[in-house]
Amino acid sequence: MKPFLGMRAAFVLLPVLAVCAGLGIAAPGREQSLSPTTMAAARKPTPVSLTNDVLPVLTKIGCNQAACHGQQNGQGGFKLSLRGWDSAFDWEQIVKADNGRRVFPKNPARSLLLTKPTGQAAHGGGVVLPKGSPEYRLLLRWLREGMTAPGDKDVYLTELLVTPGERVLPRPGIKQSLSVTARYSDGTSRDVTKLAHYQSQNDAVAAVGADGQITAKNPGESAVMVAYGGEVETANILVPYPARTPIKLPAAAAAAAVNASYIDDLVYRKLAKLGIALSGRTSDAEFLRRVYLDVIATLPTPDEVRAFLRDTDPQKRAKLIDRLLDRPEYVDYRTLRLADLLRVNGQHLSEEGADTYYRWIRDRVRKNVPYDQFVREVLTGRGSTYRSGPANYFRVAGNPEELAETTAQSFLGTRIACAKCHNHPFERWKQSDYYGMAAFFARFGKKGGPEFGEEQVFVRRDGEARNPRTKQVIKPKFLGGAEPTIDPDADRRAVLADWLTAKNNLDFARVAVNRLWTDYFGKGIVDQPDDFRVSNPPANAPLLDALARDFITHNFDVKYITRVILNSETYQRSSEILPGNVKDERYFSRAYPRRLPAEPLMDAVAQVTEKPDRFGAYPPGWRAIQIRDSRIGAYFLEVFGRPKREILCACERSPQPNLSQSLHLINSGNLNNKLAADDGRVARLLRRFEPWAPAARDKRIVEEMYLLTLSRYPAKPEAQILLTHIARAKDRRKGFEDALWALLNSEEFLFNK
Amino acid sequence: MSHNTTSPLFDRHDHRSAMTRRDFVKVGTIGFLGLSLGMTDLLRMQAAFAGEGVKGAQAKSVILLWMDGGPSQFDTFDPKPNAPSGMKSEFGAIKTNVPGLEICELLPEMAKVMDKVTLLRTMSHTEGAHERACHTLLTGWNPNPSLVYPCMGSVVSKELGGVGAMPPYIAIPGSGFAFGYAQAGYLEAAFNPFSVGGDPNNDKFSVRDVALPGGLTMERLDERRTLLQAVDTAFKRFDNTAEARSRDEFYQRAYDMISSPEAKKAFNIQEEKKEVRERYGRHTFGQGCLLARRLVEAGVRFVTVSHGGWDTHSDNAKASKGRLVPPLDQGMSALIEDLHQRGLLKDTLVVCMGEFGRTPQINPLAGRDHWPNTGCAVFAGAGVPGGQVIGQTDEKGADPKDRKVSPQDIATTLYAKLGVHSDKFYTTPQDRPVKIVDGGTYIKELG
Repeated sequence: MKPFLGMRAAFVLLPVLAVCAGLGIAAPGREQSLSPTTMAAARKPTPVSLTNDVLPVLTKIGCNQAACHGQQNGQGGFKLSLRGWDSAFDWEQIVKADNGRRVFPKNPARSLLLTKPTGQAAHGGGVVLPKGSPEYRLLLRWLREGMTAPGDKDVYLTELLVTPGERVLPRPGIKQSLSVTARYSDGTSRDVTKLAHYQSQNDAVAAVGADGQITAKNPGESAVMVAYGGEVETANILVPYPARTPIKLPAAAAAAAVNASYIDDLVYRKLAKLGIALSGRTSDAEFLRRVYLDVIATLPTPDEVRAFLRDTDPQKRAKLIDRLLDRPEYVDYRTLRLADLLRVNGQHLSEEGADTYYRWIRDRVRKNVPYDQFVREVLTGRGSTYRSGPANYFRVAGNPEELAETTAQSFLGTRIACAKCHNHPFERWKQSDYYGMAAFFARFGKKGGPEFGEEQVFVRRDGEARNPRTKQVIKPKFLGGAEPTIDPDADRRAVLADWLTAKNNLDFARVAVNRLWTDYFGKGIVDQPDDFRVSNPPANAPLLDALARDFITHNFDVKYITRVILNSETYQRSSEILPGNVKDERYFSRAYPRRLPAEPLMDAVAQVTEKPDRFGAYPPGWRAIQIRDSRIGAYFLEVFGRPKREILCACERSPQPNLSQSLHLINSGNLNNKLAADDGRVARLLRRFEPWAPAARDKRIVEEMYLLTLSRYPAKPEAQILLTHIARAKDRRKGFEDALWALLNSEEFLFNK
Repeated sequence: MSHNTTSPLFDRHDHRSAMTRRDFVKVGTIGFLGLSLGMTDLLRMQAAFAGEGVKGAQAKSVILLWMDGGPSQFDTFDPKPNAPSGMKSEFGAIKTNVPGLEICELLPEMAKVMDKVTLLRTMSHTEGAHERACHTLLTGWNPNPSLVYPCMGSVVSKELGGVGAMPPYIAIPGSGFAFGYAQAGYLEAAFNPFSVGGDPNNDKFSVRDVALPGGLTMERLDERRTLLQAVDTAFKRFDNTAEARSRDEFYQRAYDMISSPEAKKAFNIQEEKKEVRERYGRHTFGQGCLLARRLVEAGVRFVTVSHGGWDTHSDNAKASKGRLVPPLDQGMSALIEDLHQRGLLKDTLVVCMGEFGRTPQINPLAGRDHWPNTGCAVFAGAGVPGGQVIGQTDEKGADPKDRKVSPQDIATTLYAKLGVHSDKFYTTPQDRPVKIVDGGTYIKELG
């Protein structure tokens, strides 16, 4: 049981006593003072409210936690809603349930509601409420006043104000008090610092006590979540690293940045705040390999490497980015990523449905259709799943609840599943948000045929979402937004789509650009890209906002924003670790090496060995990144973590290494056959350079192998290692096979660094 | 003293003052049999425990039989033949070789080995969603918004390492269950399980890529390995990152496995006699259990055999009778019997559980929904007493009446059996110190 914090506090929550809060500790950073409205409210006692007074006390002392009476089935026969989210239910339970045994109106002090937590009656949870404490007196007053039930006209909490919202604590050990103010619908506000619930996102950086006092522990950044009355806010705490060298943008890098962008400026500001050093710029060869793999999932050919390294044009990186964005492989790879997002899987869509959906996505990508339009088309899909791509959206998720969850997670990066059964305990999502979203999908229907496995999606004029407990109709409500008025003839889905993709809905753009950022950095500004929540704040909020605004200003042009990202110095930064950024895995002070994803890796092996794989009934030469249906695959793809497109989660694609991957690359018959094939790379290289003089010949083949696999020339000692092995080999061709095997198994090949 | 001292279970110990751990353990059984003990007796027995700490390592290996999706307690180990209609299982209860202990009639083979297991009927927690519950059961931590914890197999890998060329942690048939939480979490990926990656019931089953492909000799592979080391060393490495370390670790283990005849033999389930294979059952789960026994014999520390499809929101009875319970019955009973006969049960801990139980109420689709309030788990071997039941549920099978056991208790006990201290601190990549298990108390009844 948590220590009871109210004990030491002589002043309390009651409006009548709120004036005492002004005596609160004058802590550094505490800017909040009592507003006149609070003073006014304080002078005029109002009846104690279950929602605004009693339940916050029960929450603070832990009665309605998931481990106690807040659990699914209650505890000891007494059940409360989790952390007090359903005050109507709680009133029933406290006042009416079990023949009203928990309250004793004739002598309120003898109510079980008081005698249990004070230990006067046996209580499995122990003593959690000291008799006579201000909190005790508050509960008693509510009982004496006749246990006022919550009603529709009650004053409700509108806003939670946490000050300071952000603070840099210069050294470990420094403390900071938080002040939390609740604002209500009648214009009053109240200091709830003593009643709020606090949790640090990373207590190794900033520890927080139950009284809201924060202590800096180690360098880094941590959000401190503050929850009260169903609202959640955060205070962001930064503890800088002891900077070994002054942090400044390397002048050379800044000058070299052709499109010196706001991205670099905002990344730099964050790093400077935290005292994290910046790594330098990539070499041309490193940049070349990185941008090829990220944009077109294809290795550059030796000729492309040579030409790029030779090129002296200062604009050559920007020009290369433009060329890559125009290549068909860009369309393939971007389509693959969207097909993951939308879960194009023949298991659920049938082969033809998956094919229709995929081809539609590819067409939209090829035309660079603005992202807002793309999403609107998806959300309003109708007609045959075999003729219209977006109709399949309503098959992947087949009912209003699933569609609410899918839409929220895919396009708002928000996981709302918890709110299906109860208000989210630590986030702002309420059950009404969940069913409010579902209500937009309550009026579509599906019927089978005419072809086998085909379905028709149509819009109906009836259908509602209902609260699962009360069965009351819930009106469409935008997630975290308003309840729109909808014409009965309108397609509710279109209303949702218009709100979602509106230019003033920054969240939509944030999630979209963050997904793109994740594609190109291997890590999101919000990580994971489908896990936006108050308690998982962005690593760099101004950066995310700037990108989102830029994306909106440019009409959701995906190629435009991709170009901005790729041209930034931040994207082009080296992965070299400096003493001043060893710990950084979040703020983009350097590039983070990433293992190649399953499909590009498999394609790279095929490209290097010149032995393409065959996938299902696809024609020869079909690449792994072009596979449409996630049922079609290969052991290689499975082992390297390709998603099955079964679950709604970006985490379904696994970047994790494992033993099976190593065994497969070291020892599989597949790879060895590719190396040894007469029409494979090794045999062809040997034939091609056969006429050359022996010394020059082997050196040239080794160089070709380096260019093919690692997109760079070998350093002299590196070439020498392979040449020595080849010279010693009994069978020259086998010696070259071994050399190419070693390159394909090297860390540098497997990673995009 | 109100219990019957002539009970055969008590005939050798009638001096209360000389109560031993074994007696206390039996009391649990007595409680289940409906006999009652006075409070003072219980207190006295608890006092006999005081000061008795957790023993040293009793297990060399653990086999976790993971029932993915959350098995119905009613159609397995906690039948409620007198439950009201709308709740009552379609299947009856049968007697077992432990007097007074009844289990679901779909488990006739398990009924013959209940004297070798402890049955827990009150596994209880508060996580009602699969992914959250899986995380809790497999890691001993409730889900945390900023950290994924390592599962028990990964912690055991880290603490105890492998024996010989065998990977310390193996998943049969693969690790793609439990929402990916049977993984290393914040620990390095090197502690992820090795997936055998195939159905051991398949006649052509073999572990991929362990045998040398045609045209390759061990000598040549060694040469390649030397060459790769030289290539990797010449290149400026990623400064000892976790990714690089994990990859090195996996390459090392891969070479060990490829070059080890013992490893290949361990996976070669075809060596088993036909009768043995049939006793375990010719299905993925049964042959998985058999493979698990071979792997434990070869020194593997932690083997998970997953048996999926327990999320029976519709047609619970049909699924239970068909694809779910019979394979479990055959596979687990064969495993316990076989381990016992080979003398392996004394230092192998077998645990069978899923993420939660299922609702007493049968829903309109003839299914049962999620129910974390109570569920069953089975323990055997490594000093676990036989013929014992821990905890009992109310008449509906809805709530524990006594002795709630948490996922944290289970994790703590599993680690203790292997000699791993669950209150040890690890450091996360963000330098955050966290315990292996979030609290938890050793389940003393498990010996």
